[in-house]
Amino acid sequence: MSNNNKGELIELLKDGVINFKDDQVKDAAQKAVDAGYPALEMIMEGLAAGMEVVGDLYERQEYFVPEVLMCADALYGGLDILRPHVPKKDGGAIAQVVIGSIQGDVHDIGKNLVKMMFDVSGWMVHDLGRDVPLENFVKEQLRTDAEVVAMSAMMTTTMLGMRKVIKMIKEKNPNVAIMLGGAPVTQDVAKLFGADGYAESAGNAVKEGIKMISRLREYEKKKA
Amino acid sequence: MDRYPMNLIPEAIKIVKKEAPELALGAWQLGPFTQCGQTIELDKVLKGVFKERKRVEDILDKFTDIIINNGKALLAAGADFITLREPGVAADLLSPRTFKELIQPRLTRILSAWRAPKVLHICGSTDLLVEMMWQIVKDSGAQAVSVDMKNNIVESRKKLGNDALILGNFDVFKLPCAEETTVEQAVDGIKKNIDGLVDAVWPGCDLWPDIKEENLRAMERTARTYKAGPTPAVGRLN
Repeated sequence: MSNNNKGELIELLKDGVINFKDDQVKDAAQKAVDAGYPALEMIMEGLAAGMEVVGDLYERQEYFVPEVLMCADALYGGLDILRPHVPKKDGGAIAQVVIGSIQGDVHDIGKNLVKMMFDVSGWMVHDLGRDVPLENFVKEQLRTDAEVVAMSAMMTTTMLGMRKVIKMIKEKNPNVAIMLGGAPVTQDVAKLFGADGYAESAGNAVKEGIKMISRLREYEKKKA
Repeated sequence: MDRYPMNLIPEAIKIVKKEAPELALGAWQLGPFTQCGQTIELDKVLKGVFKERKRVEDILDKFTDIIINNGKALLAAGADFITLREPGVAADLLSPRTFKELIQPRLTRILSAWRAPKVLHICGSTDLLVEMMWQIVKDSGAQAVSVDMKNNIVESRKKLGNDALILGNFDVFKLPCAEETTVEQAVDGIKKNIDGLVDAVWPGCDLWPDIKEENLRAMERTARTYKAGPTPAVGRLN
């Protein structure tokens, strides 16, 4: 198989994510699998690279959340096809993250976008869903020994629960990194609550997630 | 609004008006896009803006009708003014173009239907939307726009000029609730708010349950006394 073909498929994956062309992404992903191209390379150089561009478009306010959601759908279409073909050696999780929307909060768009970024980056994601009882974040972190706990809230009233969770987790394991996100969360609030990281909104969560993917791609290149 | 539990709100309005007739009582309704997103899964609605536009428009129209009727019921119960709050449409979520095409006409229709002093509030990044917000106010006969902490009030004032009524936008957590915020700092926050040329001090978003009484009382005193005198709004209202 020629490198051009692989290169073309990578470009089709990337373009498909950027322009939310679900069928194009699925088609390119399947062709890559059929051709035996390295699935992890197709994910990182195609899908993840496309999502980096999406993040940039979002930053420049050319794309907004609806566009980003559709790009995410396209990405997942390809990821579902490629991921099973990533060899276990290459596919070992970078790290683990427990993620969820805080108790009382049913908004989960931002949380799902962040989850996707972790997914694509090769993290093991333990998604607790939404309206997650506070103690469940603690239980899941202890169960999985996840390095990161990410919580989101979209309402000022539900945000208060984050502080309690941080306290409970830090008492048991001070080395866990805790990231907060959601519209009412500010840098000041995250700092006040004792969090280690912060993403202001779904959009910022995408940006932060994109940065993580960029760092991971650099890491993978150095490793190779 | 005559069925439980919806009928509790008009009843509450009547009780408050009876007990404290000297106070202005505001009612509010969430806007159609936000209500739609809370009813039908917001990500479906957001994607539907592109993939099923007509369907989303039809659903938004139905919510618009409901909101108009609910607002009328609250005003009939005795509310002195009403705020239309549409937190789900700011530029952190939707493009200004989508706002103009999909949201602006519906917010205008709702506010036009209410016969009372009325305010349009949108949470989030509204710097790109504030001119359209003011257009909605003008087209509907409303009185003011209200914005939250993410709005650059100084820039909004430059864009809208001194004839626009801008309400906002103190930080609802930092000033009244944060443990480390002293009363003096809370007072300074309100002064900064007023110096930013708002026409009335309003919270930027929902008030938290964890309010420190001493901070809030000091904030309220400052709002009444700092730069006391006629606001630029006097004379602007018809």
